[in-house]
Amino acid sequence: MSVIPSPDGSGSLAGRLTRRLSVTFAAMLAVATAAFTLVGWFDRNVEAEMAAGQFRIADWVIEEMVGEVLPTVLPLLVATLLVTTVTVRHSLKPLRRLSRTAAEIVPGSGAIRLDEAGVPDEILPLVRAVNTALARLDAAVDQQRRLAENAAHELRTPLAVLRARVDGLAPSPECEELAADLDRMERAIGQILMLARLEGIEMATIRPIDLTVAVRDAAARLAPVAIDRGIALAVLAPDAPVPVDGDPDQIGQALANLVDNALAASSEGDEVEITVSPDARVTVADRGIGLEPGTETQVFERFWRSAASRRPGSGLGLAIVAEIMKQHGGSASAAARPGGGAQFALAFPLRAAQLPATRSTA
Amino acid sequence: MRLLLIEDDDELRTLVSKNLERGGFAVDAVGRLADAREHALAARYDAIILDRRLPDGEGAEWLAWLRRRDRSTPVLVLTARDAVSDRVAALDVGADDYLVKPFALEELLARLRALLRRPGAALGRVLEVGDLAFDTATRSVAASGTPVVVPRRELSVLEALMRRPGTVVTRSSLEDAAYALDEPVEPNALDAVLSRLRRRLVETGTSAEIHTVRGVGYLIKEAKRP
Repeated sequence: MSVIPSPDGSGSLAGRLTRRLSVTFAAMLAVATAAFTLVGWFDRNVEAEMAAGQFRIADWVIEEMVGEVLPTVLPLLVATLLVTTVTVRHSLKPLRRLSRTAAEIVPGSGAIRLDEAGVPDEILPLVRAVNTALARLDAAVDQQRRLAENAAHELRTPLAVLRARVDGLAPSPECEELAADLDRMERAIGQILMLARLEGIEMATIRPIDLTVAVRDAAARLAPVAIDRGIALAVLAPDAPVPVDGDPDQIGQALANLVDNALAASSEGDEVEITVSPDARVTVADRGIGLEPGTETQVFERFWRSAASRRPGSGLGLAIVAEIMKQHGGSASAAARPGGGAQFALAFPLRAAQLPATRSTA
Repeated sequence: MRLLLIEDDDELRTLVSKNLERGGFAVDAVGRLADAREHALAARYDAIILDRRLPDGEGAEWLAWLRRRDRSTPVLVLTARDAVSDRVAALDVGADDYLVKPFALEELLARLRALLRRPGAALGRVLEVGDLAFDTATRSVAASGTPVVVPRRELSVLEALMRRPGTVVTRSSLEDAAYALDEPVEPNALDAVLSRLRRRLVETGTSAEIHTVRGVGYLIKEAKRP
């Protein structure tokens, strides 16, 4: 609690209250001091001493102050300050508790509500209004989630039926082509559903994580596919943890899309390098044909496909990566790799506080 | 091999049943959890294929019910949701594997075969990758039947790799397997062990290969036939 107002003017309520009360009490005590001093004046044989020629006002004031008034007033002043501070702090404790709870709230992640117990009457309407708003938000997120699940189900089931039918046919060249067409459709639908989900209000579960761990886990999942194609996957990361706020699922998804592209651009015997740097950047680099010059920003647009691209794809992979990075408060970028190939970088905002083992105590 | 297929979409259920039967399985197919419950109570199945969403309830809840009475029947869950968290959730509830719709018949068959193999294989006594066999009871290794002498540390690493074929085993898992808790581990010691193990395997001419994923770990798998 700060008694001195902060630069933006609002300052601490506790500080403000304490300051005002202290000043008021101090003023009251000063007035009382003056009054007592005056009373003392009338109480003494001032006239007698004046007549005796021994009276000096300055001496008298000092003696009066130091001797009688101050020993009474000063302890009172200190006691007042202490009591004021403690009382104000204690009264405002419910508010601090509320803001701690509020800081934990992530809409749609569970019914966290502000506790109405012990809240001062003046703030109760505010707390209730917040809880109502949270309930409405949770309901909206829930509805969107159900909608997304239904959409996924409705789209994927007919596709599954089609796939099962094709699988049941006797093998033939037409069959192969049908299966390939189906692959394309399945992939495109998968990407579109993912993008829709990312853009919905269902937020990523962002929490403090070690970026290196998330990247290594993703690489472990992606490596078998790379090895099947004769391409090596490598992760270079610092020994010390790299703390960021992130959703490991989504980071894994972004990496999967980038690695997918990198693998498609690479040939057997090549290596795809994933680098994590201490300033929370993740780079995926390949030695493929590289980017068309001038398309470094365009590639992240939805449905954008390079004219030179031979392989089937929905053109959404990088758009999804960009969206994921946006949700993380970071960015995605593409550039030509020195020496040939392309490199894609994910920049995460740095996290000042500590890692999961020590939660911040606000 | 008898399977129980629980899928509410009639067409999909019929087609997948037919495909599975052609693949050599006997299939009981139902479209509702209530029917599935009856079947599960009445007969023993070698494996169960379960859709996550059904008209009369959630597949996950039915699975929880099943697991309370039967921990051993392998269950493969089908779903339209493909996020990693959904997969993990399914496995946590007691599924043994997870397949996203739409899926290729080949993949369903392959995963079923893997599920049905398990009791003897990955969790069991003899680990197999290609023609390489590791008998965990006698701690002996053989390539195409010919015994191979493998020193202790390399043996521990090989076992860790063969328990999860085709999957990357992280450096820390391998270090845990090869070194006791109080032994100091040099950063490059593990790589040296793997390097020696790889050379040893190559000399036997086995079809099992160890691949390096730099910065992550290693994996073992059967080499692709040229």
